[in-house]
Amino acid sequence: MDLKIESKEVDGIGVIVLEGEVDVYTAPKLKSRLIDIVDEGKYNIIIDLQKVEFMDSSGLGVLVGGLKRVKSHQGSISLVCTQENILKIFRITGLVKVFPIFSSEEEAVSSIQGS
Amino acid sequence: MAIMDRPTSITIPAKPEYVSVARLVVAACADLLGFDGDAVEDIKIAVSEACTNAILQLHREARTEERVVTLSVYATEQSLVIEVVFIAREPSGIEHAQRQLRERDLGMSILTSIMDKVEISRAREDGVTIKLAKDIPVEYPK
Repeated sequence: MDLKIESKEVDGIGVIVLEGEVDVYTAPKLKSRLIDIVDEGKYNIIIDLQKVEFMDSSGLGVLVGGLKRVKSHQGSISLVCTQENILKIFRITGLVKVFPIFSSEEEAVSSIQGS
Repeated sequence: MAIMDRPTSITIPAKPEYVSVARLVVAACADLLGFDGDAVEDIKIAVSEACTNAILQLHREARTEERVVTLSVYATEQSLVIEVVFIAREPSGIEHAQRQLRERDLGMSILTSIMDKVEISRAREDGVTIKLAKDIPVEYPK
C-alpha cells in the first residue's frame, strides 16, 4: 500500500495527515513533504498518524529528522495517534519522550497555541 | 504434518517497494501459526526492519546485478523463524550488516524488543543471514 499525504494549515500551524504505510519505500515522500512545509516557513507542525496502518524505523527516522529541522527554527512537531500498534514503536524507541502525542488534532492545536 | 514445518520462501528484488510484499507473506504465515493480531504486527515490523537493512546494504554496495533478498519462513517446535538472506559482495558483508543495524539503532531497538531472537550470521556463497524468531503462542495445537 502506498502512503497518502495531505497537508493543510490550521491557525498558522502546518498539519500533515498521513494514510497508509510508512516504510523504506514511502518514507522519502514524507521527508520531502516535511522539508517543503519547513521551507514554506511553518515551523510548528502536527502530523496526524490516525490513518497510518504501518510504520517502521524508516518512518521514525524521517520524523526525527523533521524534528531536528524545525527545532533549528524553535519549532515543534506534535503527533496525533491513538493506535496501539503505532504507539508501541514510539514507546520501544523512547520517542514518546521526544514527540508530544495527542489523541486529536484539536488537542494538538490547543497545546501549541497555549505554549 | 505440522503447519509450517517446511519453509515457505520468497525472493524479492532488493527494491524498497517490495518490502511490503515480504511483510504480507510473513504475516500470512504468522497468522497460520495462531499468532494474535498484535504479534502479527510485531512480526511485520521485524520483517520490514530486516529487509530494509538488506536492501540498504545492497544499495550501498552499488550493485546492479543479482540484487535480490530471499526470505524463508518456517516453524520449529517453539518458534516462528524468519531468515532474510542476501549476497554481500564485499568480504566484510556480515560486519556491515551488523554495523548498519547498530547505526540504524532505532531499527535495532525495535527488532530486539519485539522478537525473541535476532541473529546475523554468514550464509553460503558470501551470503548474510538475518535470522529472527518469535515464540509460538502456547495455546497453538502442535
